[in-house]
Amino acid sequence: MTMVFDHPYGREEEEVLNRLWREAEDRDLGGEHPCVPVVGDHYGEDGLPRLLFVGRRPSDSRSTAARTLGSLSRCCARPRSVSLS
Amino acid sequence: MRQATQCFAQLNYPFHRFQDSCVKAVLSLPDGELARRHGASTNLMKVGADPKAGGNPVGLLADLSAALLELEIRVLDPTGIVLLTNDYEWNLVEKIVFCGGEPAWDKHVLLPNALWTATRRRARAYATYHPQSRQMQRGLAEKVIAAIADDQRGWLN
Repeated sequence: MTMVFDHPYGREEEEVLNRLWREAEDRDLGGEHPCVPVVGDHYGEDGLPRLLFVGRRPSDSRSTAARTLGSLSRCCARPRSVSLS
Repeated sequence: MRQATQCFAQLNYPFHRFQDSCVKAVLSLPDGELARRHGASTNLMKVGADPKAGGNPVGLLADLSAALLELEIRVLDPTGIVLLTNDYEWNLVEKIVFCGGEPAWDKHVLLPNALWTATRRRARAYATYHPQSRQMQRGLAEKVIAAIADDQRGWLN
């Protein structure tokens, strides 16, 4: 089975994310990658309710996968999805 | 990709279990359907606490985090925003939920000290404890999930 988790960042979001990252680096707050939202591939399908869950910060929810996506988004050119087999 | 696969397989913390249970309850998913595919998750703060200052990000870092969450909400266009943040950065939560207007939370009738609700444009906002908190033990999480599912059904119909 292949699962695809998309993330919704466009140019505007990436600019804010990159600015956030630079500010954090300037303050020597490195070590925590800003994470991007993790969105299921069926999110909002067929007009069903769309639920967005908001945690406190990456270290609290231990969203290592989200942080991995954050790393990927910084290393790769606009990855729109990550396939999970 | 292998690393991402391994990381996703490990997402089984209370936050993610709460997310899956809540999605299942709201969407009435059939047995075997993976709830994780229907939800979205993010964090209020994209940069962790300053280990030197011993506190949460302030000033520009907090403002940028709030701006980023605003953009995420705009893009994802949720019908329900479930803030599992307890009182963490409460002022920022209110700034985002009420879009700069007057804060007007409704305490949930059945869960007056555990669930706060509000309307944010086309979405309902739900603020509650973090699933890892001691308050969420002893069955409270299940009650909160049931209340959110009930509210979503009423909101969308």
